[in-house]
Amino acid sequence: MRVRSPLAIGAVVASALALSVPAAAQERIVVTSSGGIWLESAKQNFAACFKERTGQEPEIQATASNEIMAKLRASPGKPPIHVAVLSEIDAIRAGREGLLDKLDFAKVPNLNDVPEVFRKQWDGFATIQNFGAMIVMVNGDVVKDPPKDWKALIDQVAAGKYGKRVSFPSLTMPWGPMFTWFLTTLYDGSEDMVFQKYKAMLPNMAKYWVSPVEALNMFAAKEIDVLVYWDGRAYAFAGENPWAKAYIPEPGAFQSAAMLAKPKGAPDLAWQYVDCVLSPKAQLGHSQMVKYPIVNSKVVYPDELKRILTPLEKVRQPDFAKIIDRLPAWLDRWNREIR
Amino acid sequence: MTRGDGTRLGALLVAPAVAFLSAFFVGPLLLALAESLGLSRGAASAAHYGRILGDSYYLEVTRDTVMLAAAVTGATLVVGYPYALILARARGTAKAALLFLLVAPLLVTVVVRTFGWMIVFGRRGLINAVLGALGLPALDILNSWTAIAVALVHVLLPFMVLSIASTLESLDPAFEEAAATLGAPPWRQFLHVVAPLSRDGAVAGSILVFALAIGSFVTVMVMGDNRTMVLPLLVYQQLTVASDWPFAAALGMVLLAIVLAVFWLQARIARRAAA
Amino acid sequence: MIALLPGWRARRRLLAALYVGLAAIFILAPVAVVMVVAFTSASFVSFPPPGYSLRWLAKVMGDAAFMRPLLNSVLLGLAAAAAAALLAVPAAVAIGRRSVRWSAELEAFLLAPLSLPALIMALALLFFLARFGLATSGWGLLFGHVVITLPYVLRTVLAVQRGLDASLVEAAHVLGATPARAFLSVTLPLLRPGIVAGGLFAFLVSFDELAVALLLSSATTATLPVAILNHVAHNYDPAVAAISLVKIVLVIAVLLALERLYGLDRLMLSRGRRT
Repeated sequence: MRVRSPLAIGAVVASALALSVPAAAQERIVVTSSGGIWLESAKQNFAACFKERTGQEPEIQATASNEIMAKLRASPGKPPIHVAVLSEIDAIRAGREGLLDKLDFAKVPNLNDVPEVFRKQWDGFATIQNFGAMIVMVNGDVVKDPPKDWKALIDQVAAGKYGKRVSFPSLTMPWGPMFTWFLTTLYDGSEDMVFQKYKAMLPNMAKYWVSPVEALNMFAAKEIDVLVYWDGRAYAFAGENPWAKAYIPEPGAFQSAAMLAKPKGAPDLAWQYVDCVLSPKAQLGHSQMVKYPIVNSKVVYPDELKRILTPLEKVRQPDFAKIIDRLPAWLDRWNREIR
Repeated sequence: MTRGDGTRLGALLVAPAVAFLSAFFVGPLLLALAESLGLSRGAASAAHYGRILGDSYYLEVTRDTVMLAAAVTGATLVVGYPYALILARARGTAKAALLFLLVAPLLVTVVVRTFGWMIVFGRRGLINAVLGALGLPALDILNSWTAIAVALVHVLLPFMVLSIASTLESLDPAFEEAAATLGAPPWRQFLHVVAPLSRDGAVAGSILVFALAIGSFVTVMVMGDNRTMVLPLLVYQQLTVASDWPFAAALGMVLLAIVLAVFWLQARIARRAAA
Repeated sequence: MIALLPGWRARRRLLAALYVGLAAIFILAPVAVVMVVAFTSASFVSFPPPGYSLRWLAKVMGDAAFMRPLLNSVLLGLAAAAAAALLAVPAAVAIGRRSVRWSAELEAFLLAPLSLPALIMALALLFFLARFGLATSGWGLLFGHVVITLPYVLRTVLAVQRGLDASLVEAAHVLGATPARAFLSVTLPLLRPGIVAGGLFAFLVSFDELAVALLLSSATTATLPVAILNHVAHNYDPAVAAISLVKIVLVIAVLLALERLYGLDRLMLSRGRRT
């Protein structure tokens, strides 16, 4: 009867696992972060500050905006997450749906050093904690003289100058709608024009990338020579691979940001963590680790960081209300036309 | 037939599974169904279903989804059947090795597995290097239906092979040898001894592979391109990009209905074959 | 008897070897690429790597952000497989013998979770369980995985059950065994290949499952696929290749241990045919 013993062991493991879990939960503040280097930065910079102030360790959950939104919507008023890092669009939606508390300046004094532009579009329900931009990376061995501005690049891709060795972000990846909005600003606000350009580039597009991993995969495997990608990661890649060159085409790039917010119903202690994330020391430490610009105006970047961070005057903050409004139509059009 | 067990014992045996699924599957299912009909927003409406069924684009995607799953199931059956025969007959370390080989793809995270395929299928990949050395023209199959199908067969193979092999394990080689001794040619041995025994395994494997293939979207997303759209990928888009839960739920219900219809058709055919 | 067919036997063996060789190339090609990448010295994935080192293996094995989820995934997979087997095996026996009314309909119902897209299932389950405060408790995660894995065990056990020789069970009854005894000492061992295959599927499916785990896990219960997804969403380094290698080594170790301790033959074969 050997079959029965593994079953019995499994059943014991099952109950042990299930029972051990609830005991560990809830007591601590639960905060979110992206994974990898972001998680390490959250531990070293934000959680360290929080522990210094309160003597408590926050529980840091590596999770993405979509999942946070689902969890907040499933348990309104009793959030399983106490400080959330959301995408720009999700932060606006969460604010509108009444899932967030308004940022409290009395409890988060560091907000006073964060310029208003970093929270204005969110009606004070969330603030940017760090931002980046989508720029261009090329294989310098093949593309010797890349075009200086976006429109020239797009026309050259459409004309087949780089062969089928180009990858732009798809509208369907999380920041695709913002990239599409950015392109409309280049073509006098004309959506039709942008979709025409998307369509014109399609034959020479190795792929409109949907996952950041596959994009870098293609570039690293030298399947493509031109890639539109995030600045911090592009510079990091180029730093290690001398054949890769990253640059910002004119007239700049759109701002892509991580939003910090406190869900409604989370304990007041969560404000301490929010204040920690925005404190000058933690902000600088974070920027040094993840290589992205931060928002506290008291922070002075060291020179080596200044060289690779996209300056604020080069980035345009998307019009999120308009994007949310147009999104279903854009998605439908993308699926039907760009294929 | 053990009629002596009676239906009371039978009912007792199925009760826990039925009770469990009634709570934790039917509950969520009804919730999703209600959402797709807009019940949480007041009046019921089949608008989302009308939008799907009355639009040639969605019908086209539905057709592609079913065809992909059917092709993958067929290919997995053809590739997997001989493997199952060999696995069922292997003993000791050889069996362990074959088993490991089979599950290895499932242990490699999908995103890096895709990188592996890129190196194999890429425009400058291994296959094209071999073709080039042979003086043959290069293939451009990365990001296509072909690439998606190959990648799906690759990971779904274990579900087909183990289903078939588990039914072949009870095959006694003595049967085959007896048949051979009596002068039956190998194909007749296969047709009359092996095939009937493994039929249920092949059906089970096909059901699992079909359901897995028709529901997969990560592989389709990373191995395909803008032309390769399937229903679960539309569900994913509606959830992550558009944040439209009711429409996503309606798309999911359509997919559910298709798979159930295929299961039902299979059961009917099986019953007719058995009768 | 064997002397009668030396030519056929040798040919068959050669064919089998050829087939296994081709299958191994197909299965291992993309996997091997990933294995090589796991040993890269670079900070980005590239092939062939510019140099070799153990830095990524050392990193993931020393990183609680990967090792705790790995342990969670193993425990969850075992628990889900065991629970699914406890629910599904009795149900499969009853349905396979038709000792319960509506057996075809019951089979369809118990297989239905296969047809609901994972994303819809996950979101609906989250909202459903949240009403009972179970959404982040760990129980929800386990229940979700049991719902998903139950059909796999059911279908494989059913396939074996249908191929079983009912006369053996009948004989046990004639010899005076109680139904319970006949089940434990005759039916269960005969079903072993199906239970092992189904249990293996259940484990592998749970081990790789993403949608439900994403929505129902917390910081303490996050599974490996969740950890990997969150890692690759904003970082791309060879750590994910290294973690795949760790998983592969783990599975080889388990397979070898099972082979040493129990003998895979004995685990996978039914009792009637132990050679």
